[in-house]
Amino acid sequence: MDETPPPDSLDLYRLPISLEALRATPQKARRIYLLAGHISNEMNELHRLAAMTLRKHNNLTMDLIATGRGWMILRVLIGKTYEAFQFVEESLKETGEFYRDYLSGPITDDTCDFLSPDDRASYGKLWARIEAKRGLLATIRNSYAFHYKLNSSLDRALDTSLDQGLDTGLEGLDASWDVSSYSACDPNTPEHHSRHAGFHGSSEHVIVRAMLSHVAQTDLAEAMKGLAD
Amino acid sequence: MDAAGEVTDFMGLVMCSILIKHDLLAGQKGSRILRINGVPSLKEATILPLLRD
Repeated sequence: MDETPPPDSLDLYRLPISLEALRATPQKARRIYLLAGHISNEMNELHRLAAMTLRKHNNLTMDLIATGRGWMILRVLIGKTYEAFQFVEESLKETGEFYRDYLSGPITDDTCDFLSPDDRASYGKLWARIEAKRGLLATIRNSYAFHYKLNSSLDRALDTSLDQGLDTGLEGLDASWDVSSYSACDPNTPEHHSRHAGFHGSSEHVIVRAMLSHVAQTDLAEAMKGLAD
Repeated sequence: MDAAGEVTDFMGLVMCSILIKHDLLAGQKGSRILRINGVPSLKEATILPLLRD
């Protein structure tokens, strides 16, 4: 496996964890380890699912529906990111004990040979970057990802789209989001009219626009970049 | 999406710290076991099709 890897490849590493060693670990560290792994699993898979969904399709309608699906996954991912933030703050930072015992001490070559020196030095900076996004994550988590709220942000988003249109100003992307509703039926099922799946473009558009309005950018294209960042 | 990646990285650091301190590898070492080809890169993801006509 030493040949030059193609650009679309991933290397899979295996760390042989021992359940006996895990059971012998102090209770608090054991719980944190298990929950951190669970959080990491969810975030990784949602992230990858969003990335796979947001790939360009050949059919514009499928492109539209896939993009809507991508936004749905992205909203859940944002909500989960905020929950992970809360987990760290409440379980790790509040007590101070975990930080003192595990993260505040230097990680040296003797104790860790698979993190780069930059990685070892960067967790404080990393957390500061996450912390700076807390407000935005909380708003999206509370208003769009995990709760449904009938509030004025929907009216404002609709008004904005009617007033300003959907032009992003981005070269090559010159107009509008299709706000039609779509219904999919199985043609081989006699009662297929009752077996349908739908996608409602107007709802998704207004929700996405309302969500993007919370990003501190006035330009829609910049707002989208800000949210993606 | 970057924030999600950063939180995941942070979780990785937390887990590594526990793993090293309590030797959850039980003296064994990690190793590369597989190279998977044809995996879509996360960098290919774009939210811009939202605005396609």
